[in-house]
Amino acid sequence: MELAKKEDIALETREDKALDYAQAITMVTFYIGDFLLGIPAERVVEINKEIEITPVPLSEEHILGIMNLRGQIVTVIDLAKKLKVNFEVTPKLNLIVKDEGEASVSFVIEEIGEILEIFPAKLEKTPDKLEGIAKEYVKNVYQLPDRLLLILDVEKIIQ
Amino acid sequence: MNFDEDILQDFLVEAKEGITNLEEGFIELEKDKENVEILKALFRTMHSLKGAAGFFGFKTLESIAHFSEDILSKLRDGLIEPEEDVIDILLKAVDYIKYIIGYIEKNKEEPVEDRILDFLVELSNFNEKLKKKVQEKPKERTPEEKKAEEPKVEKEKLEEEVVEEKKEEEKKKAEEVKPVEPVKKEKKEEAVVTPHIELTETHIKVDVKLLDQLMNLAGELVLARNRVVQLSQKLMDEELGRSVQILSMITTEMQETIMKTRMQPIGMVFNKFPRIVRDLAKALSKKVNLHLEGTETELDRSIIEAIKDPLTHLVRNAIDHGIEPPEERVQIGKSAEGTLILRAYQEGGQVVIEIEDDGRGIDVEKIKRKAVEKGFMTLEEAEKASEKELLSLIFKPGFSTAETVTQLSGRGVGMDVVKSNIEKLGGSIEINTVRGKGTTVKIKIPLTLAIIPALIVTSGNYRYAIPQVNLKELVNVEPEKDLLKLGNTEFYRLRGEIIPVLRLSEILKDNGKKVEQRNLVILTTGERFIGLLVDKIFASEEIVVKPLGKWFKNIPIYSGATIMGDGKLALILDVIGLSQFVGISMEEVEKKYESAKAKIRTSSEETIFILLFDVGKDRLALPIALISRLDKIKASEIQISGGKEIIIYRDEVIPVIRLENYLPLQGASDQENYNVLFFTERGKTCGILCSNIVGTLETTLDVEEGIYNNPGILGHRIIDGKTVLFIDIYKIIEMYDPDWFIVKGKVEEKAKKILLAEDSPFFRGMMQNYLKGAGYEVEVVENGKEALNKLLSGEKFDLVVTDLEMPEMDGFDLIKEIRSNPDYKNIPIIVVTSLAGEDIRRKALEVGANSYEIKLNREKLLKEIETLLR
Repeated sequence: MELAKKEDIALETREDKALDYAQAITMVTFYIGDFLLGIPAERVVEINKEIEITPVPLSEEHILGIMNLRGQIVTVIDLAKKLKVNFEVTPKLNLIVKDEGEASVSFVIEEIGEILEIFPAKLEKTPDKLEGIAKEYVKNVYQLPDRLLLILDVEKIIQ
Repeated sequence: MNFDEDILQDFLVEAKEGITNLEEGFIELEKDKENVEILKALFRTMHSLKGAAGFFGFKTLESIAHFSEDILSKLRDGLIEPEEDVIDILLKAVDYIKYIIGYIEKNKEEPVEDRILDFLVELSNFNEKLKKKVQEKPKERTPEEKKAEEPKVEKEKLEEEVVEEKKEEEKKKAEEVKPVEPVKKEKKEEAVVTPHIELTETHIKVDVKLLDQLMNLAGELVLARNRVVQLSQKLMDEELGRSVQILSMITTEMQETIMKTRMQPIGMVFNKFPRIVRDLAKALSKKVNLHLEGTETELDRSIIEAIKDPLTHLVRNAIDHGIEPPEERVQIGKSAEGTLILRAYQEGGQVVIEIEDDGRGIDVEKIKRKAVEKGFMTLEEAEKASEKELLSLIFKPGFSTAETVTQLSGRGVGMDVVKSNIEKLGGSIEINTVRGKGTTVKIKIPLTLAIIPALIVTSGNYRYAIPQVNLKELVNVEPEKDLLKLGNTEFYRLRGEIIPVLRLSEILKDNGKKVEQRNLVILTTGERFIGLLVDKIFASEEIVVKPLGKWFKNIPIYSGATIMGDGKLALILDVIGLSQFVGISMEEVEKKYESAKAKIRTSSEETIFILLFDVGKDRLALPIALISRLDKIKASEIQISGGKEIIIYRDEVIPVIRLENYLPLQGASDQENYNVLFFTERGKTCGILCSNIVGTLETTLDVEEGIYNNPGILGHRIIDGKTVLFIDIYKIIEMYDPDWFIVKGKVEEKAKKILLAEDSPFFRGMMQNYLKGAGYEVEVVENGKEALNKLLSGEKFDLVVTDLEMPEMDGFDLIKEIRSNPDYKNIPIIVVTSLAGEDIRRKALEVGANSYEIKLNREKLLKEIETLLR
């Protein structure tokens, strides 16, 4: 009997959230300085630790260089610089992001956060008072229990 | 048999293609018996084969093709039906043809074998039989054909009848032949089997995508291998090490082999031309002999495909516009048959394709007129334009010189497309033409789009790849000693030529620790040379070009990136992009000129670097190439010795010349430091004292004469609002020391007389001075026409020195005129130019010049004159 009960509960919860889950978006989150940032998981190809960046002199400041991802040349972007966050990133991880029709791009980050499910209905407009980051690259914000998640506008960043 | 090897090769290639077409055609035919198009195609193929075989005198082959063609014609005209036995015998014929072609390829002659003759008899009999049948048929058919709209049923009936008839005949035939047949059959089967191995099985068709994928995988494998190699080194296991080494070798070899699969001989394209040329020549009533050279030269498949159309266009042009009609050729003393050469060869990392004809050449005057007519140039510009500039107009959209628009070419579209297609491939195209003698179009294209040989250099901790195509040579220099720093630009003298030098670390804004850079890479953009100082030079490597992302598109100095053997990346440098970093560009200079009016007509292409410097308040200029060094000295270093001012410079006593002593200048005021321009010749050096170095300028040498008529001044020009005097350093040194240039022991009984044709007053003055200084009597003229008139006036000259780019009549025409005059056909002619270039040199020598020298290289020119006059 106990077993059946458990199942019932499991079923209940599933039904309960079914609607929400259908619309939920999986977000890969990471930290830059004090900001918690998120990118839709569907845009992320992989996260790896191989940091062997070849600088490309004369390129823009936020371009760290290029790297070799299994025979593909990937452009490495210093997200902190691009987002004008006053924080010196020590490149530790590569967040490889898809760019439709082009070679992938890597955002270097220091610390990866949780993989979160968020619900589009709860997305909020970027508040005007958000400071310390270039607002034009933040698409939405999302209130987590303990802090604010900034959803990045990937298109705009890699434009 | 004594026919041209090349033609035989062409024939074989065509024949093999034909065989493939025939085989495919017959197979199609079996599926779709009513298809007249297939029959027509089969007939044509067989017909060409017969013709070609007849041309080479391959009698058996010709006969087989002949009978087969006969049978095919009957099929085509619907006189007989494509029954199995008919198809069978035709396929058998194809097999024999295949065997014979294979045999010819090996032995250069036809096989003489009984079984082939037996088959021929069989084929001939079969054909005879069909003929009889056809002759019988019309009797029955004619009345029926009159009623064209016959009900279908009846027609079918008729066909049934015919079929029955045939079957009967076959039976008969089978009875007739049967006794001998079994023995023959075995042999025949052999014949059928062998050719299959010889002709088809050595090659198979593979999707190129598959090859591309293979190549990518090989790249991945290399990287994986590299990781394994590193790991095995850590583990230090001997056995593992050995296997890894083998793995490593095989990987490399595999990668190379896969790359090779994409390479194909250019013959793939060239072999299409015998036919095209034959047809074109016929259509235009011209006689053209086509030679194919270097058909085995290999190129990447994608390039082979892409050059097909441009080449066809160029070949058409050559036949249509280049090669004259036979009558015209005979009249001007050429053979009636024109020659067209398609030549391919490898040069560095590039493949050069030349399309050479011996036709009438391109009429540059006509281009000039057309350019003005069509508004491409103003009359004034056209007059000034060099041959090269005018020829380049051919590649402009909407420019065509054909007098009448023919069906084949001259529609005004094409050459621009040809050029852009070739440039898309990373190639270049140029035209060389000699009026009346022919035109050569030279196309240079990279061997492959994906893999290029490149020189690996370093700056700081990173490696960079420079495409071999842009590489001229490597020089080890001592920057302090060998580089001249003028203004912000550094220069290096490479055999008399002044080359601007860039430092890679500076361009890349590499702020790391400075190492002494001694490695100078001399690069060519195709138009100019530049030197690039790098930290280190590694070996040359084959690199795989990978594109860079969109973030780097606006940085001109990279053309891509590549993955090195160790998995690390190297950026590929774009030499044309780099050249933009060189000092003052031509455009800027030209802009500055627009204020200065009254230009003297001279070739606009003749530009050199000049050095601007001040003596007191006066600004002077002279070509940098004449100066061996530049340095600063303290006023206190100037000593007086033997009544002359000297300095001790690098343990050498150098006399110092103050220009104000020889030229109408105010002179330098006393200052603490002076700049000294060093001038060295035949081991003797002197220094010119000046107060200030202004900088350098790449410029033409248009100077105005008249105001300053002092010896030592060649002319003046206004640059940046200031009058600049162009000085004649040879004259000044001669004024300083009349014995400076005199070589001991040279006593001429009578001075030799030289005719100097030169349009630039600057060079004219300078050369006249140094020629006179060397003891020659010199007569100067300003263009080819004047030179010719001088010669025709009866005045005797021992030697002609001429410029190439001149108004009225250029150097090439002058030489041609001189050489065609019996009185002067042996007079030595030296061509002088400020442009160094192998093509120009070759062309000058072709039209009859004895020698080719650079104007500023006094020493060498004088030596050459001496040699020629001896």
